[in-house]
Amino acid sequence: MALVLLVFFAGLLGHLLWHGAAGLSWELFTAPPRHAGRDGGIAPILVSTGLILGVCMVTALPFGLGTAVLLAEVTQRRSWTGEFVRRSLDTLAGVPSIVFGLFGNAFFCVTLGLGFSIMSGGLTLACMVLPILIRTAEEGLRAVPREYRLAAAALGFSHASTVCQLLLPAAVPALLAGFILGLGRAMAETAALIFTSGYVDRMPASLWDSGRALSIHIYDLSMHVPGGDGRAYASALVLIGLLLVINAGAMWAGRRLTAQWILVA
Amino acid sequence: MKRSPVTATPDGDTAVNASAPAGAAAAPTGAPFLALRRVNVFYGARQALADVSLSIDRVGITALVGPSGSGKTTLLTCVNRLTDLIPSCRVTGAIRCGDLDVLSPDTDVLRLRRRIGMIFQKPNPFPFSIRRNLACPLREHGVTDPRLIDARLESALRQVGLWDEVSDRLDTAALALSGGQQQRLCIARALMLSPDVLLMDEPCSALDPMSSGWVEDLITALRRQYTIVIVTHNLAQARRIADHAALFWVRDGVGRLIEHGPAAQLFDHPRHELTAAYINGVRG
Repeated sequence: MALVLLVFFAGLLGHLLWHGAAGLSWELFTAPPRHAGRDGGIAPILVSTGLILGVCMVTALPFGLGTAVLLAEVTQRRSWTGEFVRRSLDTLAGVPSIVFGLFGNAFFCVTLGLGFSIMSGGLTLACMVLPILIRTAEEGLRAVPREYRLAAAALGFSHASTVCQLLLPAAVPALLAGFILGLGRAMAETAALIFTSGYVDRMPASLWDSGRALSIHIYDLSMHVPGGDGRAYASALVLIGLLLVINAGAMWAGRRLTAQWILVA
Repeated sequence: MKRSPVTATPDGDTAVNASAPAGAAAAPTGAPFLALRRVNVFYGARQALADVSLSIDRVGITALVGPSGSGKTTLLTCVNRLTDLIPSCRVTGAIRCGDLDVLSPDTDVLRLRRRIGMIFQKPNPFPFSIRRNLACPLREHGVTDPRLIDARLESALRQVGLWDEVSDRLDTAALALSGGQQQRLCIARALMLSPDVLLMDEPCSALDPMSSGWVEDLITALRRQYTIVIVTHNLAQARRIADHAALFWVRDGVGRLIEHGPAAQLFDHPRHELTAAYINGVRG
């Protein structure tokens, strides 16, 4: 089974490399798109993607962590409220992204008046990744051995200190895993962003400008721009590369944190 | 924290006194430091412990013995109110620890737990460095002066005989220590807060015989400074280290205190037939 997955992933990567490697150049990363994206680079798209992800994570992390602590540490495991929130999150995690897009459009763009902007897109993505982030963080917190809680309580630690000084550091690997899953999902998102961050491929000057995410750029080139396939493959290669870099970076950070900060410092 | 004078004789007989509900054991030499009166514990509708009354003086070792499920550990967790962590648990009766009314809702539980250290069956150092394991309880209770923390840290590690073994690797992971070292570290961690009472829940049972011996020697060495209440299934150990002992038994599914008094008396001349049967290995 693992081999099948490996072959599938290698095939996907090989296909992208075959078609997209030729398009990789310094210009791709530094120049704006020309001729509707057939030529030029993807610099503004990379900046927009980064900004959207930034808004998404800056908003989602505190909310996600806070809710996870609430679910794991404050509400009783089988309490009505806890169960209700958990079921809601699990349902939200399965809601198609296009629905999040429509919600984001109605709420952030129209009701809050943020318009088609990086801010609207980032906030919509935050709503979308929150369920994954909260559930993985909650499981991570729950997985911290009960002995630690008992030891902390017996030493006169307040509940708040136990959470901040002990449980959160001990749950860092799980929190990072949730962060990577969330970031991966946000990065690859297309449908939710078409209606919220828009698809203008100019370099954004602020968070209130419209901006085109990498995945939308790929979609646009492959669907609406005849002759845009080369750049679409190159962009897809960049997207996959970024995902791999983020994964590897987070794994490295997790190992480093576990080895040096949590276990030793 | 001022300690009350040590009242023990060299053999420790008068250090701890347990007064039995029904004519057992010796009379206290003074006001007991730890006094339990008619303590009952319920988990939901099920009663786990019934009518336990026990008085313990300022210093010495009191061993709680008896079969599994007789409520020994439950009794320990009532004293530092770890029972508060179990939502369905209800404790009635009265427990006094020095000047503190343990079960009163007005009692500052965090202050109480600072005065009553607890050592668990399985060593449970935090997944941090040795230094941070020892420093974090002090920081939690408002001590931030690094020099003071370092001084206390060295003193606690010396008390448990770990200083020479770990002084050159205080910043390495506590979980890398051996089981016995981890348990001694946990005892040092409890000592960092200068507690009056040490509650020990089978502290040697998860250790190999060698480590168990070291930890036992350590507990014996601490008997003159602390009120130690130890739960043990090892009767030989209880006989070796305890000044006083108490036997718990399960009757009708409820844990009860059967007999308590000076250890020598309880082990050599038990008054209750259950005690005699348990000690002689006939029952339990």
